[in-house]
Amino acid sequence: MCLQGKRAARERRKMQISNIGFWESWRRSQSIHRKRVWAQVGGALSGLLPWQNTLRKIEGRFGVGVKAYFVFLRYLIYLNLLHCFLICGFILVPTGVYSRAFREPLRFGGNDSVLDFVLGTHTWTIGKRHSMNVSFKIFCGWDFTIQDPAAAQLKKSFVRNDLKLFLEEQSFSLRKAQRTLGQKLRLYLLRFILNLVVLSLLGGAFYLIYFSTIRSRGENISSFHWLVGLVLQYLPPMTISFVNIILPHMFRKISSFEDYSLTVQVNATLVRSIFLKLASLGIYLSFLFLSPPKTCRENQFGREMYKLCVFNFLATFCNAFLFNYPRKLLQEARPTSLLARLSGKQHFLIPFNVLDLVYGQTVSWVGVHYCPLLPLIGTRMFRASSSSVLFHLMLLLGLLMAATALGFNLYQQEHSKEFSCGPFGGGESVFEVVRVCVRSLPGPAQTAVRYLTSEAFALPLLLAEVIVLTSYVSRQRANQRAIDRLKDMLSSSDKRFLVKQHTTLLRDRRNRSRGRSAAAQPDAHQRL
Amino acid sequence: MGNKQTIFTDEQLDAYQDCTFFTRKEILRLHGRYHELAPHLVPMDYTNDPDCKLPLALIVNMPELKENPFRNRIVESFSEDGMGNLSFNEFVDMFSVLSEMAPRELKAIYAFKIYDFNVDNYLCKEDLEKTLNRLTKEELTPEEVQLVCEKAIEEADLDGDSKLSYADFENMISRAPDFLSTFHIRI
Repeated sequence: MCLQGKRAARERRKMQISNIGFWESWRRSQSIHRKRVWAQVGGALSGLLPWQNTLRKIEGRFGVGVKAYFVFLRYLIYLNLLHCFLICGFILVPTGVYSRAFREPLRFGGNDSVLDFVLGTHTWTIGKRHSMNVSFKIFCGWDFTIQDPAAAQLKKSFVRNDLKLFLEEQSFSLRKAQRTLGQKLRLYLLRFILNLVVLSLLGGAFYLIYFSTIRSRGENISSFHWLVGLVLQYLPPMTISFVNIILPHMFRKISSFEDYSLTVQVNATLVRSIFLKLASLGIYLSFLFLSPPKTCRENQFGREMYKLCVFNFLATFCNAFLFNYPRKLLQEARPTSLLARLSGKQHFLIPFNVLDLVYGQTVSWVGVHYCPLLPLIGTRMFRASSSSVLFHLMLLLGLLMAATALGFNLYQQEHSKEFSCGPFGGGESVFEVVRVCVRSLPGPAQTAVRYLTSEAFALPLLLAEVIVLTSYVSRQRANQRAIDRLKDMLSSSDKRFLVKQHTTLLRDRRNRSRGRSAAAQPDAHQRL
Repeated sequence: MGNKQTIFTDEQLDAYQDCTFFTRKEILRLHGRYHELAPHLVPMDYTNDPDCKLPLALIVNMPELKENPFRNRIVESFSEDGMGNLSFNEFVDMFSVLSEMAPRELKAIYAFKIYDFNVDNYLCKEDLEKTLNRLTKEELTPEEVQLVCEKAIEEADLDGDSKLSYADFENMISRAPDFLSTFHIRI
């Protein structure tokens, strides 16, 4: 459309604007202004969030899946920092300020060292597919804003990977449909055997952990050279980390033999790895609980959790810098050498990295009661992105485990009355300390606390929560209905379109036949 | 922006503002970009509507278009002669359609033109295959390309003629969630 034509169209549109009342137009302009202001505020707030620019770059270069991992990471960092601030503010600072004689500052003793926490991992390709719709991939696959040649290359390989995934799934479903009965039986037998192998691997791993726990607590540690003693003390965390690194790779190799589709393979490996990590941690904790306490149990517990955290951190650090980075360099420099082919290409599989995060977070939560500075070490990497339901569910699992461990610990044990045992010095339990603290508060504060813990407060609070939840659920249902209605409209417009095409086709055919017959008898029956 | 500029008359700037999605400042900036592509060809004074067209080769080397696999088709579909020689009007028109403010329907019209390699008003299988090859830098085998294109046509074709008319294309695009965010060039 040329410039003149566009101008004429705009004039015509201007003249067609209907007359609405003064108040109506004022209200409309107000709502438009309000929406704009809200959008600006929202934009400003999200600009204040740290790493927002980095996140956008990550999304542009690596896709939404990788971005989601980093958003989850940022969320965990916030969580841990909040935790740290709370503990520092309410425990460490008052202790430092008031420094009562009979309460030593919180410490964990032992021969643990302080570590730096700068870390980085290398990310590699493999994005996450949104939908199976191939036409979307072809026509909306290219991002027209890309200007950097490296990013263009990456995007091309992204699109190619997506399409290859689609093709692979097509060929898999074709293969699956063509399986004969004999092949199916053999496949099921193979899967059964492989599952047994997985179970035996898990059992072996747990036994190894048990063995190392016994070993580390058995002997007289101080009779050895300090280095050997250190290694023996760190034996359980080393075993756990070793097992957690090696076994998921083996699981992945095993699941490649089971002939599932790609997504099912990844999920199966993921489930097995989740079970491995959380169960190994759980078994280790239960060994700690069930074994007889040698010295003050609380301090020991905090110490063990701290060791776990530190070692996990170290292991990830070494894995990133001493293993993955050289592997990447090797792949880039000499892609065809034997060593490169053996070590294989690196894959940033999002769910596994999320699992690592969740594992670290769980350990941190378990230990934080006894070792308040643990969350500081939990904040490992410094980039981030958005969260998804799966990640939070995994985190919830970890939280439940930590809560169980803590609850078990609080209720079960006898408290040794040593001087520096436990977070409260005199080996008292949390409940006694809280009771003492509340009684030391001034009168009105005591009544306030007593009111807050009574039924008169709890029941209305519960009711209010139920009401809020119900409103959310009903809003979600209403939105779902609106979505269904709109989908219906869309598909019915397809039907309308088809009907229109059909009638146009019929009309054309009729016109043509009439035209032919009209040519035979020339008269005025030209129009339909 | 005062009356200091002498590149366009006020009526011309108003006309550009009405018919594109750019402001006066952006139009002047676009003229600067157009000029720097070929300083000896493009006059600084556009008040008497000079008839100046820049060839395809100069325009596809702009940084905004350089990495785009469809750059040739983009410039060709906005040129009047179909060979990619853009006057300043067409240049502005191109970036206006590809800007953030252009509506979905307008973008869909031009997207259809861009992907229609043989310019027959239909997206047939050859068009799709060419699109796919440009997109993946020919890393898929010919059989894979065929399979993907067949599936794409199957998904979008509503009138069963195994090629996509504009109505089919528009119907499919209206359901694509990220068409607007990907089909956009920032200048």
